[in-house]
Amino acid sequence: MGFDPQNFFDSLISAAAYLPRTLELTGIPILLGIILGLFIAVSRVYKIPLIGRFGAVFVVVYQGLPTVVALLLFNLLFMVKFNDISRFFHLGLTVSNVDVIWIGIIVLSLQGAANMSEVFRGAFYAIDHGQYEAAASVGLTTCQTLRRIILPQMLPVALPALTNNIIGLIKNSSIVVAIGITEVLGGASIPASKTYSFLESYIAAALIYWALTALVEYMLQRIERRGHKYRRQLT
Amino acid sequence: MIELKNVKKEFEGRPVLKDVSLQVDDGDVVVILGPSGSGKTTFLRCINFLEQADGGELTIAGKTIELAKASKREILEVRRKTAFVFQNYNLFQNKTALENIMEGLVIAQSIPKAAARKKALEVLEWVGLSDKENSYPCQLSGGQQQRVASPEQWLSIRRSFSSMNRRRRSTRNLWVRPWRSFAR
Repeated sequence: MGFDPQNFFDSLISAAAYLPRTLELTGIPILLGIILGLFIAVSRVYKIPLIGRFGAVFVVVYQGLPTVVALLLFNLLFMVKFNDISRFFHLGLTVSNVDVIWIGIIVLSLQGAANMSEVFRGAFYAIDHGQYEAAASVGLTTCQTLRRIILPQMLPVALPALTNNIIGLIKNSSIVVAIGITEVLGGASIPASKTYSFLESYIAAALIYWALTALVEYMLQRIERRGHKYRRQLT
Repeated sequence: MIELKNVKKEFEGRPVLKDVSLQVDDGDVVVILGPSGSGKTTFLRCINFLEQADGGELTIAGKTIELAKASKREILEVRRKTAFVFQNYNLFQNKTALENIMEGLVIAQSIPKAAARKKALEVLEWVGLSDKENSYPCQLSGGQQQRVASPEQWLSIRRSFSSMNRRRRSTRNLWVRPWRSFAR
């Protein structure tokens, strides 16, 4: 099994062409995961009736579900039930004219939300209780306290673990090959189907994932450093 | 005038405050003394609803509120009229000294930002911390944090009483002076 630079280069080009698909498969889940995760964490920390309980159950159930299993399950349900659901709601859509990528996006978003909600919840507990009391004592409402005092202090605490989760989501996105979505990994393998140069294909895919995660990590670390301005530094 | 009647509070069946009553007239300075664990802080926390009392009444600015059954709105109203300096100051960690003082004024009391800023700067100068307006709490010493925490609270009190003596502005006798002028 030799290494052919020409095949490697072909795979790299082919993989790069599918980069927008991967960005779609990671960008939306990251954004949705953060929003939904924060919402679940807030409703659990503030013990909002019903929603808080529902969030807790969702996190427990979804975190026990391997991503591949979730993908296959959602995909199966989609294939079997979507036409009926679409007809019931008069959506005018059928299985054939909906891009399967949305299954991947939904599964990864829920995965992100479950994981990130735990990160946010941990960060909430890291904030000194005195901050809540101080805000209450000057007459801030719960919403004002959350928005002006707690969230700005909590996000820098959550950021290192959040970075981990975001990078995990990017790498996890390659798993969607299981339901036949072509993204960077799938794209890299296309030339190999003719030349059998799978080694070059996988290395090309790894290289692109590595570059993407390195870039994201670098950006998040810069944000992290900016968030530290009011936290006492350990020197 | 502030009046408290029969304030009751117990923790897990153990009574801490048993029918405590107190009347504070305008201009009064009241010191509550007692051994540690006797409920001094709990009493103050009950007034500010940081702790929910089991019974009793609070009369402030002519309005009487049942401590155990106060509505969210009544609680906010009392909190915006009163001030509370915590034992460990509890400054907002994500805000500078100036922003800490402004927070209650702008957000809770809806004073325009520019006016609140002017007021806060004045007060910072008054406690001798003009040069620290952009410092975060973690960059201030314990004593400096205390001086930020207090004017934050003084400002809201000052609105209810006559204005404090602003003629002598040296930091000497700082902690005696406000109390004296307060009593006047």
